[in-house]
Formats: sequence, structure tokens, C-alpha cells
Amino acid sequence: MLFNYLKTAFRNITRQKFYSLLNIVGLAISITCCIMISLYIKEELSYDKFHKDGDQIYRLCNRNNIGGKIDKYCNAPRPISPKMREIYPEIEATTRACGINGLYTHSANLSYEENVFNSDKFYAVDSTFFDVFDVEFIAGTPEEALTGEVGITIAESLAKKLFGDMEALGNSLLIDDRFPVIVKGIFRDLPGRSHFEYDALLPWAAAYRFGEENAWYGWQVYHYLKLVKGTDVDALEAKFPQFFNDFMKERYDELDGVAELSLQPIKDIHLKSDLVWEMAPNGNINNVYILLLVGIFLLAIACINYVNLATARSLRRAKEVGLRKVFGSPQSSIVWQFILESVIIATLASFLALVLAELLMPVFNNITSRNVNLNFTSNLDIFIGTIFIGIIVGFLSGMYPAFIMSHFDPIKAMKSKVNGMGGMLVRKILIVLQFSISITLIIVTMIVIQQMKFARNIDLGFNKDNVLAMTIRDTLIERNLVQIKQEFNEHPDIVSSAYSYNMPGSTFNRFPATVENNEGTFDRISCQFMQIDYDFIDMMDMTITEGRNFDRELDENWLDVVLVNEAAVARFGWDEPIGKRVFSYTDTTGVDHYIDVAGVVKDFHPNSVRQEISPIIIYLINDEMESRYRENLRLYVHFSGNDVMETVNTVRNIIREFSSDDAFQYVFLDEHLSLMYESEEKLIQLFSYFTGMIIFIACLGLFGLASYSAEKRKKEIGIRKVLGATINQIVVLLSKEFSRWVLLANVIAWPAAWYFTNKWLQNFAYKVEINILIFVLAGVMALLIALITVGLQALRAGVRNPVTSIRYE
Amino acid sequence: MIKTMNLTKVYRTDEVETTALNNVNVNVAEGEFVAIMGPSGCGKSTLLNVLGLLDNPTDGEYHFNGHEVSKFKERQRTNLRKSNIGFIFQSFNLIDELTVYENVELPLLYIKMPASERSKQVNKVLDRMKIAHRAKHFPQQLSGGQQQRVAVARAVITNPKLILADEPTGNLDSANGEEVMTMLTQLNSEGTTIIMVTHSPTDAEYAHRIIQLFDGHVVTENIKKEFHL
Repeated sequence: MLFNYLKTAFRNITRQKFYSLLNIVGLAISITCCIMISLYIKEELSYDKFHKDGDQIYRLCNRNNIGGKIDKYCNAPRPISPKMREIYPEIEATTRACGINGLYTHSANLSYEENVFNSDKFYAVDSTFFDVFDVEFIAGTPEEALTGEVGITIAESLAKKLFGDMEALGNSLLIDDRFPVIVKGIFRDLPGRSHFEYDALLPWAAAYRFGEENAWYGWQVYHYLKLVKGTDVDALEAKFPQFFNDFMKERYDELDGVAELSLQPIKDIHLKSDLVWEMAPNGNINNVYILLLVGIFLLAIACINYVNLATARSLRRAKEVGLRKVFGSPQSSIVWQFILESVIIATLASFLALVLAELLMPVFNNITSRNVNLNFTSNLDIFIGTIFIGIIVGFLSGMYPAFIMSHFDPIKAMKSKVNGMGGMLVRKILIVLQFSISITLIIVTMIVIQQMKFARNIDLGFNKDNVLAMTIRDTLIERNLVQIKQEFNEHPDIVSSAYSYNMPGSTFNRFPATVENNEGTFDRISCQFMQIDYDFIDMMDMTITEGRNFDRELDENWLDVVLVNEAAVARFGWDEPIGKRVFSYTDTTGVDHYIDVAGVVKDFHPNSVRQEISPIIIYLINDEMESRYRENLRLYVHFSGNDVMETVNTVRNIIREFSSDDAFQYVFLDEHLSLMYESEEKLIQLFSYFTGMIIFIACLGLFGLASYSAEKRKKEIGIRKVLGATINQIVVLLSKEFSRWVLLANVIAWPAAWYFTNKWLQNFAYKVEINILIFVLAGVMALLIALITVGLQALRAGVRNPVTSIRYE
Repeated sequence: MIKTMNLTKVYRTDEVETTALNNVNVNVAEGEFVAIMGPSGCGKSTLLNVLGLLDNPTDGEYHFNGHEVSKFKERQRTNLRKSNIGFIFQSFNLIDELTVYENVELPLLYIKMPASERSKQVNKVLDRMKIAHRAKHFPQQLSGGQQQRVAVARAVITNPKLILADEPTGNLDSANGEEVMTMLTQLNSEGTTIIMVTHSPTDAEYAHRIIQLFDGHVVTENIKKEFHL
């Protein structure tokens, strides 16, 4: 019997090529998208799953409230974790980690003879690092590797790059061309993805050694804690307020602040953590949910297509159903027969989807900047899942048509007298649902695109175009900055140059500042800090709205005056900002020193538009400042843009006069800024593709239904034409009913889209207004797409010679 | 074998009530060949559907082989039907997606006969209907006469006690029509009860008895030939 069903099913599929194709292609596309979504999600979920005892590893977080300004950090002051290890027996091991060139700068050049490589996963860590993170050593031992002060431990791949086939262990390397270190350990590359990826590790003492014992505020580093198995984390966290009181309170009291320490499971970090100073941009669990939803939508729409086409076309199978019943088939057999048929179609679609997914993988990797591979062994779950999904989808979408058909009255069915109205209402509802989903996605996509365009084109308050930024890690360059700038400025294609510690688009330091209020007393208010040279404001085309800019003639000392932004003026409540004082330092004799505010800078966006503009206090970097403060300077060149490559070469050559070529690392500022929105951009791209797919699949279904409807009404169309209807009238006749459904879909789609976009836009401090026109546009777009789809079919029916249509019956 | 008492079938739509069968009393003995005649719309096909257990009567009793079946549920009707009744239709009603062989085999699938046995049976009946050489063809590839022979083959494959034929020659030319009637007579002579609806007086001549229907009533019962048990 099963064989008989299979035979009928296959013959039906091959006979009804057009409809089978619509179904299989629609399903295959949606399953392909689902495979890709699964791969994406699988990778997102794979972060930090490879650690031995990963369930016991936590990161210490620090929620600071300084003068009412709350910041949630994923790092904390340096002495905390060693102290905690001392006093809490629940803690088995701890380690700290800090970027090699400052907290956030985990990048440095490593060189061995002629081989130079930049590692941007370079951290200083405690000697207990490998007690927390278990890695496989291929040379040296985890006990020895991080002891002493001049050792470095590197990953296998990095060792290969630097030393080739040579023995790396015991050899000497140069960090940033100045500090020699000896390779004391080589470990296997991390076997999976992690929020904390490292390929070079330096002993803590080699990088940071001064004055950390009592630094209970500021200079925060990452702390990882490995807890004893079975530790009650909540109970441990409950002890932290006492820890704060015992060790940190004294320092925080001076700042009128408190800190709340907490633990974050390492496995949750990638998807659930978005704190200040994350090591790298994390994923977002919401993106995972959104994509999951999109995947479900895609499948639902393809299922709806199947149900629609199958029920609409059930007429064609009516005779067969009637006969089977007459010859003794029970209802249940008919149901199973048709379910089996749709399962076959869906399974075929799954196989096709696997092929498509394999072919489209490079595109997918390109959009998501990933390197996902659909190979059989590592993705057996995906393969089995795909086939399984095919079967489930087939089952679900086969159920309804099977149910409808099994209820045909056999006598009527044989005479083809069952009216095709079976499930007409259901079909209409499904079409409306499909288009509701499509229109919602069109609106959401358009608003998201609009917002990102707004974010990219917002008046930042400074010029980001034609600006080249270099990170300086070379003492020779640092010492010769004045001269280098002079040489830059002599070049015709270079407009100006400047330097600063802070780069727009990167995280800025935030500290509480003590500022004078209108009454002449002082308030402590959390601010961001910038340090720039005399030329920075002009080079960046920033505007001084009150007072003056830094001036070489007037401001000889770097602590003479500061600038503030408008947000600071507003936050401090200043009526007359110029001349207000900001506390600077207390000297050894106990005298307090203050800096005057010399000017106000028009508000600019140093960070992404997600964040509101904070109060910013801008300090001067004096040309004669001690060079040790100059590490990690950014040097900027504003160029005319006439010949970009030529200008880059000029800059390179000038830098080369003072140092080796390897020191020349640059980014274009506009590109650097767009990185702030990279994850959103990727998501938009992915989202647009999937939206396109959903609309396409929905149209496939509509196309099928329309062609069916045209076929069914052949005779009616013929008679109408004989009676004088024009082709246009026929097209209108056929398009009208579908248009109504699409219009109705708007009623559902608009509120849904409004809800989602409104929620998403709340992530942004600066955002576009939701414009009703977009909703109308999306509705019109969907209608047009539907009309074109249906119209094509209607036109075919309309131009047919009426005589053949009438004779047809 | 068949006995109906005051069989009534009423079709209702929202506005119209049509009485297709009105107190019909029919008796058919085992081995009989009965023709049902009458003008279009007199209820011939309705009667055949009710007798064939495809439809339940609105009122009245229907005894099939001594069982009152008029109140049977669909499942019971299906079970009774598949082992006892064969159908032949005017428009052949073969499944387009199945070959000749598979169409004939279909009823056997529903009585769960083992495959080897099925193949034996199908080949036998195809031979008998002189259609074996077309076994692998699809219905569209056959002439009308051939299609009806396949339909007859399908109707007799389960060795039903009763064959219901609804204008079996209606779509055939006279030569093919005659052939089909000969087959039916042959089957009848082997013991199969046949009830046939027909417009054709010629075909009716093959029957033992003619039941005339008019507006849902039996008007006359005309015995054409002697029929002996």
C-alpha cells in the first residue's frame, strides 16, 4: 500500500511539474535560509563552550555609581581578584588579564629577525592564568610559562608565523621593536570561539607592576575566577558588599561613589553581556532570537504556500480520492496518503536545500564575516536536523489538505463536483498572514536601514572624511612629533595634522570630575575625558561656541586651561562657563590646583548614536609633555583627498624618515567610525536578504494560487470576453480579490511593525522619527509585488482565445 | 440479497428540498441481472449510490445480505463495500496517475491481499478482459472501450457478489458497448448479481428484469427473462 502511495505521489509530482516546482523551490529556499540561520546561531552559541570546567569560570563585573552616574564595567580595579582568592575558600583560582598596551589595547607588534607580526590578542595575565583556563601545551609547561618577567607564551600558529619550522621555545622576540622577551611556552590554538581570544601572553609582572596594591578605584582590568565545584554562586556574591566595605569603600567614599561587584558565567558573556570595556564586540542574544523568528517565519510561509496550493488544487485529485473511497479506502488511508506526499515533497526540498546551502555558503560567510563550513562531519546535527525539519514541515503542511480531501463525498468527488471552496476561508487567512509577515519585515527593514543611514550621516560635530589616523607605538616618532607634523603640513595634499589620546569611535575614559558650580562651591560629576593637541579642534573642524581654543602662545603649560563640550555646560548647570574652575590635583604641600575653562566646544558624537553625548572635559597635550605619557598617541592627518594613495605614501615616507616602516599602521577615520555600527550593518544585510526571500516565497505561493484561479475561471473568463470584456477588465477582475487580501494584511502588519521598530529604536539615544509614509510605502510595495505576480497570470488568462476556453468545459 | 423498504432520499439545500427517492421498495435476488431505467433526474443514480453504500438513505430500510445497513457508519459501509461490491461507471473513472495494472490492483490493496497473490489475480483478470498487453499503459493512452474494460476488470477483481454499473456503455460506441454488455452477461452467468442503470433499451435487453423509475418512484417492474435460482 505504501508503495502504491509512493508511486502516486511521485507521478503527481512529476506530472504537475509547475506546482511541484513552486512547492519544492519555495520550501527549499526557506529551508536553505534556515540552515544558514542554524549555522549562524550554532556558532553564536558555541562561544566559550570548550573550556574545561567552563561551568566554574566566572568574570567579575563592577557596577559603579559615581555621583549618580552609573556605569557597568566588565572589569574591576586591579587588587580585587587576588584579594578575593585570599579570603574566599570558594575560589579555586583567579587570573587577571589586561591588554598589553593598556586595558583596551591588546595589540602589539612581535618580531623575530625579519619576521614581524601584529598580534591583537596579546594580554598580560597572572601566573595562575592556566589554573583558570586549561590549554594544551606543546612546548614548555603551564607552571613555568608565566613566571619571571621576561617570558612570553604564544599560540602554536603565531609561533609558526614568527619562527617557521625553527624551535621557538627559548628563542627571543621583540615586542613593539623595543622590549626583548624569551618564548617560555607554546600552547595549541584555542579549539573554539571565545569572547576572550588570546595568542600571546605576558606575565603580569612584566607589564604592570607599579602601585597596584591599594588601587581600589580606577585602572580596571579583567578578572576571571574559577570557583570550587558546587559553589553556590549567589551565596558567594552575597559576600561582595562586605568585600566592598572592607577594602574599596574608603576610596569610593572620596569619590562619592559605590561599586557593586558581581559574577558573570563565562558561557553567557558572548551573547548576554554588553558592558563597558568588553574585550571585543560581543554577539547579542536578541539577534539570535530575531534570526530564529525569521527562520520560523520563512518555514511558516513556505508551509502556507504548500497548504494553499494543495487545497486549491485538491479538485484535481478529487476523482482519485472519490475512487479510492469507492473501492474501499478508509478515510485515514487518504489522510496518510496525502501527508506522505507532502512529506516526500518537503524531504526533496530539504535535500535541495542542503545543496543550495553548500553553494551559497561563501555568500553567507561574506555577509556575516564568518568562516562557517558546511562539512558533513562537524555539522551532522545540521544535516540530520534539516531532513528532520523537512519531514516535520511536510507533515504539518500536508495535514490540512489531507484532512480536507479525505472528507470529500466520494460521489461528488468522482464527478468533480466538490467545490473548490474547501478551505477557501483558511486559504484567505493564510494569504493575509503571509503578507502580514512580509509587510512587517519590509517596514522593519526600511526603518532599520533608515536609522543606520541616519547614524552614519548624522552631523557628528567634526569632520570624519579624508582623515587618516595612526596609532603611535614608536618612541622615535613620539619624540619627534613636532617635527613630523611640520613635515606633514608642508605637503600640498595635507591640510593639517594633529594628535590626541582618544580616537572618536573608541571607548573614552570616564572619571568623576570635581567642577565649580554657579555658587562657587564644587560638585563631583561623572565625565568623559579627552586629551588633544593645539591643532586638533581645527583639524577636526570642530566648532568653539564660546571662549577660545587652546593656543600655543597663551597656554604654555598643559594644565593651564581646559575646554568642555556643551553637554558638560548643561550638566554642570553653568550660566557663565568661561573661567569656571575644574579641580586638577593636590600637590605635595597640600595645595589644591584648579584649571580654568577657556572655551566651549559644540557638542560632537565621540561614540555611537546609541549613547547620549556625555559631558566631556578636554585637556591639552603639550608638545613638550614627557614622552612617557605619550604612549598610544593617535596621530591624525587631514588630507585634501586629491590622490588618496599618493597621500598615504607621503605620510608613510615621512614616518619612515623617523622610524621603521613597520610602525606605520593607519585607519581612515570614517571607516573606523563605521565599525561602531558593524554588527547592525551585518544584521541589516542578513535581514534584508531574508526579507527578500520571504517576499519571494510568498509571491511564489501567490503566483501559484493566481494561476490556479485563472485556470479555474477559464470558462467564466471566456464567456466574459465573448460578452465584450477587455483584457484589462479581466486582469482587474482576477487581481481584485488578491489585492483585497494584501490590503487587509496591512492592518495586521502596521501595528506589529510599529511595535518592533519602536522597541529596537529605543537602543539609540539619537534616532529617526518613525514615518507613517514608510508604512504606506511598504503596503504599496507589497501590493505592487502581488499585483505584478497575479497580473502576469491574469494577463495570460485574459489574452487567451475565448473559444478555446469555452470549449474546454 | 437486496431488499429495500420505503427507501427515501431527500437532498436539501438552503432553499430547495428535492426528493430523489420516494418510498422505493426494491428486491434483488442473488444472481439476478437488473436494469434500472427512467428519464434523467428520476433518481436512478441516487438509488445506485444508496445500494452501493456510497450514500445513506434519508429514511427507510436497506437490507444487504440480510443485514440492515441503512444506518451504517462510513467505516462500516466501507468495510462492507470493499469486499462485496464492484462499481463500473459511465466515465470509467480510472485514476490517471496509475497504470492499467495499478488501477485494477487498487481494490486488492484495500483488502490487504499479499503482493504475490495480488499479481496473480490482476494478471488473470487482465487476461480475461483481453487487456493484459496494455498493463503498463496509463488510462489516457487507451481508447474508451479499453478504458471501460479496465474499469470492468477493476470492478470484478475482488470477486464481488454484486456489481453496480452506472450507464457502463454511455461513453462507448456500439461495438465497444456490446462487448462490455457481453462481459457483464458473462459475469452474471457465473453468479455475480448485477444492477445496471441505463438509458439504452438495447442494453436493458440483457437484463432479467427492468425497474422503471419516475420522479423517485418505482413505476413498473418488467420481467424480461425467466430467472431461476
